[in-house]
Amino acid sequence: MSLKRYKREASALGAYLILLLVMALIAPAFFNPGNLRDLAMNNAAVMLIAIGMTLVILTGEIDISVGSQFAVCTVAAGWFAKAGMPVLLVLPLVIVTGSLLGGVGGALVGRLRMPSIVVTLALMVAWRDGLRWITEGAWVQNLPADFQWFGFEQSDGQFLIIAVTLIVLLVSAWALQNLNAGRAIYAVGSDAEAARLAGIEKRSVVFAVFVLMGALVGLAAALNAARFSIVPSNGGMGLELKAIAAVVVGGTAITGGRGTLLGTVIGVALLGTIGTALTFAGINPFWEKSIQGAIILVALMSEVALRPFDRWRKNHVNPANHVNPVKLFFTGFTG
Amino acid sequence: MRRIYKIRRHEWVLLLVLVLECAIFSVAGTNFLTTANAFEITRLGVEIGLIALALTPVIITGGIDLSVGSMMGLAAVVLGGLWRDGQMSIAIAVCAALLLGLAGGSLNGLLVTRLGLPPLIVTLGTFSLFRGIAEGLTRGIENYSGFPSQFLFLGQGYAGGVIPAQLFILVVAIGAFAWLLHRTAFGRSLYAIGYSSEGARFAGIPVGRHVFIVYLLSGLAASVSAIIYVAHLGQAKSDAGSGFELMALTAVVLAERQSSAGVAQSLERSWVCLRWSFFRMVCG
Repeated sequence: MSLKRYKREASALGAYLILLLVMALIAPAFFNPGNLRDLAMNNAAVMLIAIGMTLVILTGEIDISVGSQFAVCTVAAGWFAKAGMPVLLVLPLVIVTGSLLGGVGGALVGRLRMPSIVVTLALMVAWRDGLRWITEGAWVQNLPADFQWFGFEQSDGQFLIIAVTLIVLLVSAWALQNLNAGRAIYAVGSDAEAARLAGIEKRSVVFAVFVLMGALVGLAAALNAARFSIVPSNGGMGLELKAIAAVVVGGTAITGGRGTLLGTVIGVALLGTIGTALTFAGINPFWEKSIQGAIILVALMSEVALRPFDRWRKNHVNPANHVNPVKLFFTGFTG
Repeated sequence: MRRIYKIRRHEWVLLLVLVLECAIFSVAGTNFLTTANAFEITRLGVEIGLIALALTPVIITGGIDLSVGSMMGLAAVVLGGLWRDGQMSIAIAVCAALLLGLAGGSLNGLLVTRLGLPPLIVTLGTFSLFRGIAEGLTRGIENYSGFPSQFLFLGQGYAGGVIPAQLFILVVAIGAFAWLLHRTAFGRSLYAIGYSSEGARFAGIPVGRHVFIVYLLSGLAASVSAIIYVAHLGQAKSDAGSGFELMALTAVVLAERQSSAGVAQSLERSWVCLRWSFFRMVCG
């Protein structure tokens, strides 16, 4: 296995290590176990959704309805629990709810071949406004006592959430690289026509991936809801863009076919740590978003910086022709 | 004589939905079908409408601009900051906000055309960047208000006693975009670029420059919209225009069809904005 294949992940990892190094130098308190646990708790939901988003983006599609799906699933979790269902039943039911929501998008994108950005934009509005209509903005309160932390102690509940997230991550990463289904996702993303000739239908793969995405949103919503004793009806705002940003920072090509879950993990970690890191460094955390934005743009530009080397390796042309990306930015493509 | 505007079938559908919507709401709610309410609705529609108009050429070229809402927030904050803390006249602050819109638009444009990066991700990055700078500058709490009444007239005043002042800006913008897209070589080239940017390049169209201008206009429209928004609400906060990118995008997407009727599309866009405003007003 060549390391060169993972240069995009490596550059994101490099950035993350630099961030950690800076934190170690200026604010060692950042590394106390309590803070690291809080960081993991706050990013578990984003992580799960970013896993699904990686798969969706690998097929060359996109799903911007996940934030609204998350809100619906969160409220569903509250309702199921309030209806007196045992916790062990609530979790699978919420996952099924998420899969159904994802399946609607999957059917429209995969089966009817409508553009995913349009479909999921419409679904984003539909799920969120539908939920607002039904709940009238009210939060779900007076939940049974065993709802929070699944009835466990707080520390056990936290451990459970982190463990489930890690297991899902490892299983998906393994499946994506080793199972036929995982390879099919790469195949349809890099060349749908070639995949079709090889007997892989893009529509079926896309449908399955959207359903899986929905299921992961359901899982994330249920795990996240269990952290609190009441359930909000406006959760998941902006979650879709957070997940997409993490996937892209992790080096996954937005056009599909290239990327790894390893990169996504690094992307989630990098973007999810910034806010806390700023607080520990004594900088106003309101700068968080601008730094996240800058990271996305820098990740994109490093992509361009890597591009000439790709071309050079492919064509064996003179390395002296290597284009300086900074110069390119100001002079433009003249050829 | 050529017909300037021909309504196509799916636009009739949209128009029908709009009429139906009006009919339902005027039966369901009191005070809906009044002149005053009709104009108040257009007041809300102007800010989204301007952004939807500017997003139209972006989408025609096959791109997207998610950063418009965040640019509104940044422009609003800079406008308020320069006026109150910078002790500048409101005219200079407005000019600065417009320049900022152009700068933000050109950042998107440069990254998309010069570096050939995917617009969805570039503008996702600037979406976060612009809003982040706005929040950082105001520490998320600053709220600029107490603007002079001449400035507030732009967002709250009535021309001739009934017509909201900002409606004129939207009408001019609709005309300008319709003319630009349908009656100029530049506008027609955008459709060619959207159809095939490589083909357009071979046809001698300076693709990069044209796409750049499209993003520039989008940034400018966001700052104009921000100025009206501030004048409308009488306050400037870093959360101005959050979610507008998706509302405007919805407006554009509802009206989207691969066709060449540019004027139709621009006009249609304003209907869709109206529909959105209705929806917001009744639901929210």
